[in-house]
Amino acid sequence: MPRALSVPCLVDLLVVEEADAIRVLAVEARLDRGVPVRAPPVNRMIARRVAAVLQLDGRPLPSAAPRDTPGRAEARDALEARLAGRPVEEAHLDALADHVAGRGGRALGPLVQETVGRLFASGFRASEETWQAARLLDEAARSFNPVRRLVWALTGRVTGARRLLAREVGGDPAALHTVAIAVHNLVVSLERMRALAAGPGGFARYTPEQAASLCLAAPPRVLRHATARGATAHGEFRDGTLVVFCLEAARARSLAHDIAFLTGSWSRCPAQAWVPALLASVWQRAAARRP
Amino acid sequence: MRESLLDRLLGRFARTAARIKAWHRWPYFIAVAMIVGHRVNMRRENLTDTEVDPPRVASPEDFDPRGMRTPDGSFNDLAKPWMGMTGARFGRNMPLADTFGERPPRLYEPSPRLVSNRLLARREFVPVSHLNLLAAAWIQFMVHDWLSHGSNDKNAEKWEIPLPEGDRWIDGRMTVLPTDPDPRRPGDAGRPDAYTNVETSWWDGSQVYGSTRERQVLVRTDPATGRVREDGKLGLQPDGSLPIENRTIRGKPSPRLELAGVNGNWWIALSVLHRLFALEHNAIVDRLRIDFPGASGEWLFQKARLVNAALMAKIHTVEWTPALMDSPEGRTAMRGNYWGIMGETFTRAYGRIGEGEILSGIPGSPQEHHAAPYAMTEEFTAVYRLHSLVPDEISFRRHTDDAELLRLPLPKVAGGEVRDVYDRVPFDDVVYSLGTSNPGALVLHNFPNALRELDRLDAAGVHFDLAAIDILRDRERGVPRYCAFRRRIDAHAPASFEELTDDPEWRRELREVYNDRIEDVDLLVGTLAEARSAKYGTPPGFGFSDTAFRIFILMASRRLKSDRFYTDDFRPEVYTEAGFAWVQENSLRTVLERHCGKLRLHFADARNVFFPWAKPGG
Repeated sequence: MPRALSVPCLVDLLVVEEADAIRVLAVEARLDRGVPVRAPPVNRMIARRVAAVLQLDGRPLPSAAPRDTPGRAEARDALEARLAGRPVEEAHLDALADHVAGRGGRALGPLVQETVGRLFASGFRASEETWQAARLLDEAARSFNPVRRLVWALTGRVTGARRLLAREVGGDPAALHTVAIAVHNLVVSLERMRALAAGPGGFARYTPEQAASLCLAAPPRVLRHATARGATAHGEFRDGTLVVFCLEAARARSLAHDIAFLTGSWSRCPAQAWVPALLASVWQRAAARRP
Repeated sequence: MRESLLDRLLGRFARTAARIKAWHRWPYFIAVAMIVGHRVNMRRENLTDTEVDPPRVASPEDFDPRGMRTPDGSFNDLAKPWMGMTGARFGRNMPLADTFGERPPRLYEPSPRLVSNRLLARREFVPVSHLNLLAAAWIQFMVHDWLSHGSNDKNAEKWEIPLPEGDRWIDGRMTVLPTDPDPRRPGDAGRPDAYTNVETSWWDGSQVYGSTRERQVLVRTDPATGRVREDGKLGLQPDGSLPIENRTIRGKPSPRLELAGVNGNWWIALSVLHRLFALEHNAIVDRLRIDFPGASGEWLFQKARLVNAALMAKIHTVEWTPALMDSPEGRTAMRGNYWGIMGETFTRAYGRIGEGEILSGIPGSPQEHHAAPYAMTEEFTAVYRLHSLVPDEISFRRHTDDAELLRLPLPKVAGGEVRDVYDRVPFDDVVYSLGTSNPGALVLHNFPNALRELDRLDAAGVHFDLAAIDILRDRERGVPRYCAFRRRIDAHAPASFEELTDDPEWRRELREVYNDRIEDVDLLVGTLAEARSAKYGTPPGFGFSDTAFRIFILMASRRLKSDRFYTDDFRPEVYTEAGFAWVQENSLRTVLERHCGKLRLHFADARNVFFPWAKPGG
């Protein structure tokens, strides 16, 4: 069952870790993205912090846009269709396979960032600078540390990082989300894959699909807020309740792809087929290279 | 259901205290609290659902599933009627990511046959002196109620177990059919294979009654007339023995095999228990008919089944398990599951206190499945590999003077040969012989050799080494090896062979077989080796390992807590007043008194009827 954490006039959270509950709540009409209008102060603070990072020129990135944002669903569908016919470059696939096989020379973070950046901008070149910018944005979206947030606000580092990455991908909000935020899940997936390959049974034990499923990293948490009071078989919420979907915990338990990408919901990830296919390809290629 | 504050506190306490030392090394009250806390943690973290497309369930016609058990176990949970039914998948006690089956070459590292030869083969029979052989038979009787993987995959390429150098295996090469996995469905992409349970997963007596309507009709058929008995009783021979099924198993005719709901792996001790509980069913029918003289045979059958199954569940919980876990903590834990810490006397006199299971036990408390729909699990199957309990030969003796009538090796008391035994030894003497013999201990080097060269002669002429197959099956089905398994159940994982066992000779053998890699030790081998580990291993007084015990406390509770007929519907309105009282007032002792009255003096002084019985003049 989801865990409720509620202190009147302060905070009202519903933390959901079970796959079944996430499936139900992900399609719940009274849950949406964005910053709630009426909500306890801690809820608003959390939602504002995330919204402040996941935006470009004041407009939310696709991963943070509310359900009824004009053009959101159409853009998502178009991107999904575009990714369906978009393999990664051979050189990148080779380099990723080398890494999984334990022979990689290049740092994984920038390599993955470049791999996914090229899906949007053919000239995208990842560097230590772009990678550190991505790490900073990811950290800013999660951090509660007030000192750190104050420093970032005073120095403008987060804004600068966002600006740098946006420039590199031609100002495409979906691309910005990919090279700044989503890239980290892919890096974690490939690190897991390397460990899996080095473990007992190695490549022989798992098919490419199984390896992809085992290693796939979902976003640890995504947020929704309730726009009205409601109750489901998996929990009750009030107007302003912040619902936390613990996607990675639920995926790890069920190995279900649909949880990682919220498949079947209005907020599904357009890379829902592309990421598992990439991971399977990397495993297959790495397996072929084993000594 | 959300965890209560007490649950959460106990769960955290167990985890914290276990870092200092294992539960059984703490004083009584702390140990009991830790057992309960471990169960809380495992209910949250060690129940994994494998279903993606549950079996379709047809609405039962002419049958009201609210007050009776369906033959296939459907409609126990009325919201998810497929749960626990025949053909549903096994669940897991591990995260799915840890349950991908091993494949060659890892599947054969080290060779299961090498493990069998070097670590499992019985050198001399090591008995458990505080138990009798009925205890060994009982657990097989129960397992046949709960689970079976059914036939293997005949179309798949066979596993070929490498034979160690110098091994003169009878067939020259050792091949084994893979387990038949459930067909993969769209939601299975990227997930490990899942396997189906061909029996109902519920504690519903399906080993006696079968797991299909067709099987139920067979056991209800009167062997004298060939028709289903109209009085609601099970079909028996005039002398009370089981009917003959006369079937062919794997191409081998078994013309004298006895009939039961499940009669695979049949041997004399299993036959005894089936006969006792078929007789018990018929006795329950007689009792119910007194209160319901106008009831139909079908109604009487179904109600008697409900009562008989509950009685078996109770016997297992308050008699068998405490006999195997013969320590104050073990007895408290298992009797507490049934009666609560208030105990039998209080609970029967005053009823339940609230809905919680700690004070008044699980029966009658609200149904709850915790983290996953109810199902038997692969890990449960794995820790119930208890073949070492079985002796290689049985001495049949007369109960009046303990004189030996017959001594037979295991193959001669198995399958259709069971009837030959009854031809030469009266039933009461067979029961007496089992009650006064000891089972084997669950330790290394005690696997019955008769089961290591099992003649499963079919058209091709096949022999099995069941010890090697036990090892192979766990690996094939993705049951984690010993150390990984222990980590997932909050138990200390040994970092060295010194931590695994205190026996220096065993350490040396284990090192050699596993090439010095402690992480490679198989689950079965680890559980047997820990029998000689004072620090982390088998708790004092226990007949099985701490590793198995962790799964037992989770699953033994779950079999009751998930079942509507032991929780929400465990009440006289469903069981009838007489049926409910029958469950509460009876035990294996009364069953034996009723059907083997002449033996009463032999077990009268036994604190538990699974302890060795008295011999004449003894």
